[in-house]
Amino acid sequence: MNPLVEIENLRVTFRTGAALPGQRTATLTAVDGVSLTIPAGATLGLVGESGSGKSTLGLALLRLVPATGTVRLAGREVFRLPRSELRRLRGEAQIVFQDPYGSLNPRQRLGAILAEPLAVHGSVPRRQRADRVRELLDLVGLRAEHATRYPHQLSGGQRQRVAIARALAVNPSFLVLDEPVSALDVSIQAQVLNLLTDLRERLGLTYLFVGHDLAVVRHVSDRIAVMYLGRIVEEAPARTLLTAGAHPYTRGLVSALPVPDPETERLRRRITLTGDLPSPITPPPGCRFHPRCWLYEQLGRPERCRVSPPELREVTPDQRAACHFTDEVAASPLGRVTATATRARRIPVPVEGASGA
Amino acid sequence: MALLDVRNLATELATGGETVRAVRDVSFSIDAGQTLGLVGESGCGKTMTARSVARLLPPGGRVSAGQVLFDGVDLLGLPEAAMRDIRGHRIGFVFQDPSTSLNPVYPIGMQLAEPLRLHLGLGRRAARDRAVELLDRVGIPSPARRMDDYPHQLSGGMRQRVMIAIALSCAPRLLIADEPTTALDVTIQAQILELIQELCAETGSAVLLITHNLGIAAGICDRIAVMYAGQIVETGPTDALFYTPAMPYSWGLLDALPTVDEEERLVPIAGGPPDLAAPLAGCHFAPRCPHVREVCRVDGPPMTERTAGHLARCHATAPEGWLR
Repeated sequence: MNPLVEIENLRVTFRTGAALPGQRTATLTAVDGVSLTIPAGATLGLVGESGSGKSTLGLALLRLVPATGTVRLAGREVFRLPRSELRRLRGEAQIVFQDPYGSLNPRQRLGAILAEPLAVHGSVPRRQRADRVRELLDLVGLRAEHATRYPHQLSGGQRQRVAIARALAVNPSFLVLDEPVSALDVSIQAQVLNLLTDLRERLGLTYLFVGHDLAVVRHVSDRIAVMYLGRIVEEAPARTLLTAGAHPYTRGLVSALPVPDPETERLRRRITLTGDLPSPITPPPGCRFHPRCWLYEQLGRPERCRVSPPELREVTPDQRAACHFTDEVAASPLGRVTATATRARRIPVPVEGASGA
Repeated sequence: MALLDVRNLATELATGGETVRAVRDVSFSIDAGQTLGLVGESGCGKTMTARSVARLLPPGGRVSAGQVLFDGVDLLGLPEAAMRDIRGHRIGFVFQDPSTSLNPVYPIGMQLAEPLRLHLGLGRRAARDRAVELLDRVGIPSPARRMDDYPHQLSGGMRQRVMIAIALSCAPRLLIADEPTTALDVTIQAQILELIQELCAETGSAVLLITHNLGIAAGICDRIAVMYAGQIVETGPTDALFYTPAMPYSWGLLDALPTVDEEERLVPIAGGPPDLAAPLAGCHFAPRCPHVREVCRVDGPPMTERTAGHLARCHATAPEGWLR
């Protein structure tokens, strides 16, 4: 399949500090030389802890923060587009944010919220906009009469549907989904995840799904990239990443994930990653993960990890990881999801002929 | 006798002219040293239940009925002074957001020493020494130096460690942990949960863990109570709840959850939770329930036993019901 999105050596830096006189400024590299591709019609999941740079990466792809490197969307270089062409880019690539409470204008009715991109992009003549708004509401599972409501009259899940409808208003081919279900409750989260899956099928969309919950990300993604302190440390098919992660950090993430199955929780041996995410202003030398790495400790703290930063390289033809000791990772049983279902759940089923009072 | 025995608790919350009946006839108990998970989605009343137990309701909140027996004494009838001696001493607290539950203008050492001096009567020097030990115990590196740090100088995970140190400093009989890891990253969450389990085992503290995360509940709870719309709708040993759930909302939650080893389409629960300010008839879950029958809409089901210690609030799964 042709890549719809090609990212080469993407870098985003911020200057920090100097908010007060006499404070020193520092450079924070939020995204540090990331290269990824997303095939048309596929979903790439991007996971990492807060401060790993995953949201910044999503913003950078749409030119919402200044960045260097190359991003090609359907063959066109995003960073080279003249300002006048930016609107066309926005017509092809849109974003849905985490917080549906903060991303919708509380003073606008949903009809106006959804009609605005149509007007700005001039893609739909004025007379047809009301029809298109209805179509969009229907697309995300809301009713036509919702058009006259305000955001505060909706639940969190409904608001997120509106945010998705707004992103789809201009018929984009690519969506950045930045933690789109993190603010939602479990029962609502499932509704929105299913909606996203259906929309991708129906409209042939391509997604970058940014998230922190591996179970959620795995559910929607074909491939997953793991980010740590601005760099991709592993990229692999979703299933491979969970069952045979090639980076110690990936294994740590898998291991830290609580599983809603008491038996599994009792039986599994965990890797607990020690410490916090270091400051991205002064990342550790060598491999950025080594101060928290369980394998580094296990191998007797090899100098290589402290000195030379590992390159992201192919471990198998389909899996890339940035670790000097991927063979040793492969040999470890820790931090893998094993398919051995433990105890099955028994859910009551209807009984024939029961009157039920 | 149970350490904590909550009986028919009802709590109301007056907000902007409306009265929200946030907790409706909630009963549960926790034995000494046991961990009970109170599980449910936002707005189901789990936090209000815990706050009622501790008598820390927000303005407008009031317990309208019920008993909270702690070691046989009804906390709801105690004078405030006696209650103050229980909070932080016999009952410790860890809340969701460590950046707002620590006082930003005092160094952490002082905040840690306060309950030691107040409740255990330690002198200034002894309290400080003990505080350093506690910081060390919760895994704060170079604890003596950290004593004079302010909360903003610590990371979220470190702040939560300090909260845990404070909560467990007096070896309470009960720890109330309200979403203790929700604000934290998953790797830090694992560290904090491990720490809570380890320390509570040492002090013999029972835990009331409030969480929306079924994975966390599966990992550390002995028993689980599922809350929906102000009521406990199912309660039982952790295994019973996960492997033989007896209330459609409980298994609905489990089915809606993406898991790491399955590719199947998620089964969401249709609709959303009811408005707790409006009057509710019948089973609160009936409007969203795929197995609903007429009786459910009219008659609120009582909690009835399925197997020993496993109770559910459901007509359909009751012995004479239509689900087996």
